[in-house]
Amino acid sequence: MNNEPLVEVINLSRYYKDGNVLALDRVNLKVSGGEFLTIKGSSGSGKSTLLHIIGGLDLATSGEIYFQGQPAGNVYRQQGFRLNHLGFIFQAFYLWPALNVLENVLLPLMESSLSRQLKLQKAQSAVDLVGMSDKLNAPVNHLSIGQRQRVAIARALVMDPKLILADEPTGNLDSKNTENILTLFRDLKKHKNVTIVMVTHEEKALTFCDRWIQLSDGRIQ
Amino acid sequence: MNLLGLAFKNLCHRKIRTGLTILGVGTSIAVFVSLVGLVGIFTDQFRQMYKSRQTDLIVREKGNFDFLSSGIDEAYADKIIKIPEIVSISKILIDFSLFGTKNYFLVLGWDQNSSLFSKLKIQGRRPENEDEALVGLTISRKLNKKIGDSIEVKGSRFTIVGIFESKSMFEEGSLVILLEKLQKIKKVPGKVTLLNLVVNKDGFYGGKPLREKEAENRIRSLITQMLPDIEVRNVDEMVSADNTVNLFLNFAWAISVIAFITAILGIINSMVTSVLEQTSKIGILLAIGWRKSRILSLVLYESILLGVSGGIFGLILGYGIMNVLMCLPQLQNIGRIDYNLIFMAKVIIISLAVGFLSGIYPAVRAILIKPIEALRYE
Repeated sequence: MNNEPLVEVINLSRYYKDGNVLALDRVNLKVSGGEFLTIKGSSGSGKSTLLHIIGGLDLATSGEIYFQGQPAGNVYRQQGFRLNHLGFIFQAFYLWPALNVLENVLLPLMESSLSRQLKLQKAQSAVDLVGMSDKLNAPVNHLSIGQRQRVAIARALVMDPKLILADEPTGNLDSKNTENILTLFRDLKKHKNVTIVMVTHEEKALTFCDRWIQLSDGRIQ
Repeated sequence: MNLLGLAFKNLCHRKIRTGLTILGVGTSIAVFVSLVGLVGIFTDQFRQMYKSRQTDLIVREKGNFDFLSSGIDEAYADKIIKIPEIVSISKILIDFSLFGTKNYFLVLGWDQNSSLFSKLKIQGRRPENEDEALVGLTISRKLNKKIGDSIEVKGSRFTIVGIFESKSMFEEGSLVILLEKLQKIKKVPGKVTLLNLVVNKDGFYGGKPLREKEAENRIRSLITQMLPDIEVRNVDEMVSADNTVNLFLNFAWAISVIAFITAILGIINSMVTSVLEQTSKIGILLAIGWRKSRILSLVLYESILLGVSGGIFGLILGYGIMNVLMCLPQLQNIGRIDYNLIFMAKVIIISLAVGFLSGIYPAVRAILIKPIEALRYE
């Protein structure tokens, strides 16, 4: 784990509904490179909002975010930055039902200028990494819920991002699949040195991560 | 996998909606193909009629394009024939007549010595008296008439003295009587509808053939200077200025435009539904860093694929409809279906344009999706 912060959040606040609802209240947070951080909290605590703002999907009302020491607002606007540096995993997977496993993983690579051969190699490696190489050509509709989340993880990994943002990735999974996915995250962090920020209400996740924080009413406890 | 492949797979995934949309677009395109195709056959037959007469130029009343009411003095032929380059002039008077209760045929009045008779393949002989008629093969078959039978035209009885075949299906559906007799029937003594000119093309005007605009214009100006109340047209101008052809063509296009609008609305409906259904999936593509232009292209590719698939289906259906229509007794003899590759390419280009235009609104909707809102959609 690198002690240099990959992401730094300073006094971040987010209001919703014309300033009447405070989702995040002056949050300060540092995420080190190679760290597996879990953000824990009850529903409505603001944990997903924080994750979305870190990922550039949502905007803060006030405060600052830095990515590798650079203001996130600037670097996120760079063409291809999100594609090459960030990976997203969501509770609902958001896989394309018309495509098979390999094609879903290839989706981020469609934006890259790599050769077709290299794209295929990278996608196959990512699928291999999540233990789905035997289902390469399977339609995603034919997969179990746990397998679908693995495909979504492979899709997040395929561009070798520095930071993976996972929003309730085990929310739809049973306990066995939850444990498998958490083990996968821990192994990815260990072997690929990828930084993971995961939002969850899953108590079991705390034993797999390097560090966890609790968010309550938009504040870190 | 490329963007076109992704668009194709998306369409294949929603089989029923895609199938129904292609069916709708295809039907609209088929309406266009069959209507415009039939007008094309009609137009080609007109052109063929002039070609079979070896017509170079046609002289007719200035500004009046209604065959039935227009007329020029037949004496003009005697003046025009004095132009040395004119090889022959044929006087033609045109009328329509009802035979039985529902069959309209063209009635042509020609001089007894008209060179036009030599362009026909006649079984029997040409009319020599005012009570004799030469009938086209189509009339002969439809009315079951043979040589020696009699036929009535607007109250006058004629004996059929010959049955003719022509290279033009239109002409084959006509009846020829002597010019003087038709002038009497129409009550237009000394008048003809048009003069058919054949011009000497060998060594004409400093060695240049008539087809060259300069030479053609020379003859036109000679005739119109001499006779200011007439106009001279070549075959293409005659066909394109023909009222009936234009009426059919305008009708075909009007119906086609309505059909195209229906097709566009069908694709828009299908694509907007698809974009709405895929909001979260489009959201994830934006979240992982896809450019908006790529999302725009994806939606446009899908709608263009729908349009082109509909176009191909429409071509098949349209030609199928034309084949069925050509079997109807009323249309059996108007001509043959022309499987014209240029027309087919135009149909595909129109289908592509229909698909593209239909995709603009759904594509703009797709790129206006905000990733965070899209991900909250499900």
